[in-house]
Amino acid sequence: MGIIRTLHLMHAFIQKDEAGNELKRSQALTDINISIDEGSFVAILGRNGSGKTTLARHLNALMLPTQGTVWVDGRDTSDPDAEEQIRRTAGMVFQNPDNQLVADVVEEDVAFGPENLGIPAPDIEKRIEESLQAAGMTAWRYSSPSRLSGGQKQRVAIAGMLAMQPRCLIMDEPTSMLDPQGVQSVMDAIQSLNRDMGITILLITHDPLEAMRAERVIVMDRGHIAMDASPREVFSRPAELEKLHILLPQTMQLADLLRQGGMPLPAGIMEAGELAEAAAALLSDRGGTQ
Amino acid sequence: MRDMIIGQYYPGSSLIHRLDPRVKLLGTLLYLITVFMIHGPLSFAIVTAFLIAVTAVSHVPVKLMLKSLRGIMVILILTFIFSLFLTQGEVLVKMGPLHITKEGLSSGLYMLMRLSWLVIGASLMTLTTTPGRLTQGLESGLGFLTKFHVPVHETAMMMSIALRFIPILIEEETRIIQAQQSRGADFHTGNALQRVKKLTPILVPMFVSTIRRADELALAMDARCYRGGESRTSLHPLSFSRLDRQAWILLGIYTAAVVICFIFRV
Repeated sequence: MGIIRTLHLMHAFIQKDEAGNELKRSQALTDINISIDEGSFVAILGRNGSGKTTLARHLNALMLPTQGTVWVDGRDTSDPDAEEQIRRTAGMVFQNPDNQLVADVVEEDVAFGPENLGIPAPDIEKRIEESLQAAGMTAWRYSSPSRLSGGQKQRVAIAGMLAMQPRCLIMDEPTSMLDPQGVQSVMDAIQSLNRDMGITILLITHDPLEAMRAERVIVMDRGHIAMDASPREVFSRPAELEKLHILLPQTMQLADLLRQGGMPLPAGIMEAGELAEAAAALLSDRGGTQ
Repeated sequence: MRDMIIGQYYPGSSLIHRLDPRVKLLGTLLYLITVFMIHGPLSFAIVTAFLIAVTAVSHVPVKLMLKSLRGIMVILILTFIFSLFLTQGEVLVKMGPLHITKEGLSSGLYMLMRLSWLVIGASLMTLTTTPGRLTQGLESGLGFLTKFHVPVHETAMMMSIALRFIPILIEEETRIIQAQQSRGADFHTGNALQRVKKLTPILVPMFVSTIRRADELALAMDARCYRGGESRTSLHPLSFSRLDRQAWILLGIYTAAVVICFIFRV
């Protein structure tokens, strides 16, 4: 059984006039059924407006379904009494690093979650140390967030979530406002949390390169799940991805073009090294037969 | 601007830095009152000695403390000039229609001293206390007001969020101004009214983005299980130490001394 499950999850944004009559209805999520295994690293890939953020916000009770059910660790998100437990289980990191830090000192910000949970001070101290360590931000413990770079701020936000000791982290496009260096540092931090601490990661992204790092990719389109498979499988269907307005990473584009050009490359090539090897093998075969 | 607000705190670990913020808040309040009780050389000497002693113990460079006076320089000069020329009494110097009186000179100097002492004393508190500790001290010190339905925790939370967002909003303002200027906006010419009108294209985007930020921050706070002040703990809980108790006693003696001087007008 997965740590996060949804069954026939639907969400509609409904605009009402003053009398409560429905003016406009836009269906953001339609019949979403997913189950996320504990300890896995799952990417939710989709372009703007595909419903991926709306989905993420359902997964820790920041939004409630119009229809259907979401369970986090067996608890129904629509049960108000379960809210705190759900948010402790599934933490959320947002897109804009500036708009999710509360305090003026890094350690105070990391302490914010545990303080809300009513954890006694010596334990908070320990949690701050551990989570800053895990996010690689120990050196900045007493700095002000306003003096940090975007990537560093985002890692403070991750540490702030870790301090609540969640089993699952939902990341809503955590790198989309960062420079390449910041992206790298945040992605590395995410991957090590998954690998070394066994935290379930749900990475919401519009970047196929980031999605490739996951072990499972769920592609969203117009509120539906369009694809749900391993990255190798998802990215070996370029025609389908193109219809969903998702660009293949460069290496795969090149492999795809080579295949179209008549080179019998095997399917599922993801990295530059793999492509080079496969191409070299083909060329040397050809050289051998001539 | 950025450094003015954030750089206010002078990091250190002196006795004054380590004092409980509640002691410092009440101490500052008592000090401000005593400055207004100065009515003679003896009370002046006591208050000044107290200010010098606390400054020395705090290890804050005197230069930094005097810097706080720069902000009110204009007020200081104006106050001095007004009392110098507008006080009636024994004439010392005559300059056309204006004359400086003996009483004017003494009351001018007196006002100058009083204002400077006030500002230096108050800045000593902000120089030795982080904004976070200060709001925490206010929250805990005024906690009794919760009984009278004053939203003490909420106000303290608002203050600390405001402090956190000041540098972000300044940065944003600069960016908006530059964006408008790059499209030909001119904020520096025209009369006062015209210039105020020109602020609209800065203020409107600022409001919109601030509301958007507030919305996102609320969501992020929700995700971190924030439910107001109830059953919340603190990373650095406030508790009075021996040092604080000693400070209370010293403050008591000091205040009593100034009050006695005030009664006898010395």
